[in-house]
Amino acid sequence: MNSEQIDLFVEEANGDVYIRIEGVFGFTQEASLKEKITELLDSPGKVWFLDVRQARFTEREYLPMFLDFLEKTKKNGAELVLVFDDDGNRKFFSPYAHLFTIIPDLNSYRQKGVFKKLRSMGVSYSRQTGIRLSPLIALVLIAILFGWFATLFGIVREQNADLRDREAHLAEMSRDAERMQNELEYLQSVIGPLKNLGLVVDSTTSKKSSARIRSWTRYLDRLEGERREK
Amino acid sequence: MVSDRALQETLGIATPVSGWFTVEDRDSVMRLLPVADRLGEALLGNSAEWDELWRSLDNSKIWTAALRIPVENLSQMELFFVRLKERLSASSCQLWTLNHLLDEPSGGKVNLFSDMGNSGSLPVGIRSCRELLLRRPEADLMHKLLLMANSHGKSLLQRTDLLSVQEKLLPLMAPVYYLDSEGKDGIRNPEVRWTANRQIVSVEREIEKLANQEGRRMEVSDFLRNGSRQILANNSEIQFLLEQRVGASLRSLFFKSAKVNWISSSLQNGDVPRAFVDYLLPPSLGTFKQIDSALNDNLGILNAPYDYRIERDGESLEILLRSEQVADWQESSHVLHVEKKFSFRQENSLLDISYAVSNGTLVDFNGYLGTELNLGIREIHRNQVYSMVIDGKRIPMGEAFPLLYPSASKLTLKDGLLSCAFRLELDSPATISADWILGARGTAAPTEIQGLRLFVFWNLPMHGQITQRKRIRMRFSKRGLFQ
Repeated sequence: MNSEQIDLFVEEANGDVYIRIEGVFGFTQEASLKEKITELLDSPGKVWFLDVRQARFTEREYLPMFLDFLEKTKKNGAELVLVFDDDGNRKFFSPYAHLFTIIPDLNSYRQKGVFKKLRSMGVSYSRQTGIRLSPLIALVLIAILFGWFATLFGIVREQNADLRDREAHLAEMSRDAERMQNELEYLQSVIGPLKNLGLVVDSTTSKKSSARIRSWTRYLDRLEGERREK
Repeated sequence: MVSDRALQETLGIATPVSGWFTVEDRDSVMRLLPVADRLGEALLGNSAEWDELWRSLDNSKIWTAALRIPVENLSQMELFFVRLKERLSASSCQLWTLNHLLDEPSGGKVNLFSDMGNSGSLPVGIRSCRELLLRRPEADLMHKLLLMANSHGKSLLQRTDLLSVQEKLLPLMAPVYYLDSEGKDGIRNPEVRWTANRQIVSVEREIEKLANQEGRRMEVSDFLRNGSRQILANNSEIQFLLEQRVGASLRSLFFKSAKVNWISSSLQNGDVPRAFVDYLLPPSLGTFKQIDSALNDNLGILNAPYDYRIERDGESLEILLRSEQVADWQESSHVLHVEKKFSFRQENSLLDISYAVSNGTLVDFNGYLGTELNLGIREIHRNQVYSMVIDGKRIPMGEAFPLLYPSASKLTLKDGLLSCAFRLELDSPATISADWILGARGTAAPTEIQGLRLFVFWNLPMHGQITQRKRIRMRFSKRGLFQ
């Protein structure tokens, strides 16, 4: 009849079961609470939410009881999620907080689509790794990571643009060189026949040089004279 | 903790008071623990005084004593405990903590007097609204449904949504829903109750919608503020309040789509209207009149407290209730082990009730095992708008009542104005007795139709240690159409 003194709420939807207990739980309620919750945990369910926000536990014996609940749900291939957000319960569950999945309220779980998937992934990873992050710290970490990625992306993009500029400049210069080469060839082809006729004087066929070559003895003399003067 | 003499005066009794009581304090329940003044005095008094008191006390009850410890003086304090220890060890009394006492069932409700004067259509001799709530179960249920909706809103909704819901609850605090009047201005009028229930269910549905409550729910709490827990069960179509401490009977049964509370009749004797109140009657009763008077006298009523268990499987959410019940008739007592189960299945407009009753003794006997439903019925302009069909046969309710119909498997009751209906499907043919529940209006004779009393029963051979199983399916429909 002790179970008469327990305020209990059970809701089921889509395979998830939400249980809320209310009141002050002392020595006398221990057995009946265990009985009521264990009976429920024996039934099928994927995720079990146990809301203790409006419950206060005055005996340490309740902690092993919650560990039993956790063990039981694990054995059944389900998950136990504790719902609370107050200092009293945080302190009470602190020795085993790393073992339990704890959420402040149910609203986030009731979200559908991507958020729900993200949340369930988070719960799953948290359970596997034992690492739990508060939403604020998670947001700060996300902001830092995002900043890093943004900076990296900026640098890569800038360098890319620089490379593209250089490439364009190189291409332009190559085009100029080719054009000049073409022009040179054209000019050579234009002056080719004239050179053959001896009408064009260049460095090899200039009159001055040939004259010099022709009077090379005089050139040698001059060189000799210059050497002597030194 | 209050003085037992003060509580004796409040309750109007001369015998000493023990146990604990409840009193409503705004929206919550306050526990009153009577302290035996004389016990405290005698514990530290002389031994003759103590012996005299000790002999006068009822040993089957637990008595509470309060003593003042002389903390100001160490030697006196020591002396105090020595004397107390001597006194207690000399008597053969069992000591308990206060917590143990509070685990026992409550002694009931206590009325805190707040004088409201004689206006306001309160019944004769009643001075306060609280007394009215105690005396008129219809007004009390209305009040508790209002508080229930408010507490649901508070626990589930954000501020703006809550305010809009509370605004809709405000009209339900109008005097019309609490006045002890049979006219159109009081709660004893069936139409007034119907309107009130309609508004309450609208608000509850709005809360469910705003809070995204889609699933099946069971809630165990002290909804009626009487010191014991009740179970409120909900799915998207049905809501019922189960009092497991009072024979696991239903106090309300809402069909949400039609916004109707089927258990809303007002009983002439001021009793609380309930459904699925079980009886074990002697088989010697043969006529309607005999059965009716047996029900009026609560002969063989199985209303002992049940222990409950909430069970789930993939398809259903159930409340399993177990108890040992004793039916007294023919100067003998029959002990029965009763398992009663209320189930919600996948189909939302279906309530499944099953019984497993076994004879707890080795003596064989025959008996009528049955269940009583007090249903709320409205009369529209003095015309009957309801129709009853049993196994495909239309029953002219005006002429056929009082009715004793043997061997029925299906009973349908339809509200011709709203089109809503329910159907009882029995797994094996049963006898059905049906008659109007009448109330008085202006005259001494009860002539006003307040509801309909159905009693469904089977004649069963109860052999020793053999279990009899029975099942009732209750289907609801908004348009009176069933599969």
